[in-house]
Amino acid sequence: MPAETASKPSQQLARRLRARSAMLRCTLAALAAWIITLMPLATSGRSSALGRTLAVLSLGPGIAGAQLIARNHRMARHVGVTAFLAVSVAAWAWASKDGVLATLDIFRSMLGALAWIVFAVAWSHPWSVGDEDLARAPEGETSGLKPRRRPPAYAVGVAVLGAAAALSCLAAPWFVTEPSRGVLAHAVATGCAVALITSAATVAVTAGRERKEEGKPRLPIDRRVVNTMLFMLLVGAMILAVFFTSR
Amino acid sequence: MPDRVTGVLLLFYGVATAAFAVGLYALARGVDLLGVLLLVFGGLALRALTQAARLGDGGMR
Repeated sequence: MPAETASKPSQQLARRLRARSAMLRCTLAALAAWIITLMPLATSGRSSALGRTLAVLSLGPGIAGAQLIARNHRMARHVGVTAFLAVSVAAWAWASKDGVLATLDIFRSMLGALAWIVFAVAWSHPWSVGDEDLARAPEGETSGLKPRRRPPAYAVGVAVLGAAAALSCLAAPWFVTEPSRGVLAHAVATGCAVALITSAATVAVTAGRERKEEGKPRLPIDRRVVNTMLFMLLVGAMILAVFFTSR
Repeated sequence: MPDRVTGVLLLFYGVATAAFAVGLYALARGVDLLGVLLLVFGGLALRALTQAARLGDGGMR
């Protein structure tokens, strides 16, 4: 009994924090995205007055939208996502006209892309709904279709690894030595990233399936897979030949 | 612990990821032929992965 009473204030605090977690998460994500990608436009000496004003103004809906999540979710999305993005795009368009974007370095660009990904995830449904509201919501209203089974824990790891591998692919073209090959490298890397993330999803989904093992478990290899593996051997031999003859 | 089907798929996926990583590095360094061959190798590994996944599902997809 004393243990219960002692844990009550901490439980209340945790509940209060959970109720405000969506608002906090979206506020921080918007602030990070603004600091990395829009604040430099507001402080740059090359920006025009209108460009600076738009960059500063974009912070308003970004912060205000997140504060509306608990009161009016639809309005929060309109302000926090639509208006914030609209003013941000206008600020970038104006900055591009002023030639400010050309001065941004690669590191800041990549960091900015990451910040906007975090912003998108922070606002994604149903995370942006307050946890208390989510608990009260009727089943199926907030979570869409229910999964028929839960995937194993490592399936999530596979999906995360796939996303990390895809992101690494997208980072590779930034290190191309010849600028004239940059666009081609980006196109190839994007293709690789899409292929990797799609295949990671396939592996994760397959890992979650329940298989009926009848008798001795078999490897998923048939004639077509063997043919593809023979092609792989052929290409592998060519790779080795090219590698050793070019040295 | 992954079962046999998932283990095979993960093996193909690892091969493809490594091939893409080295292939992109080779392309970035200007070694075009080796880079293209490595990307083709990675693509074939993913093709094998898709075919094996279809078998693992009992040919449902």
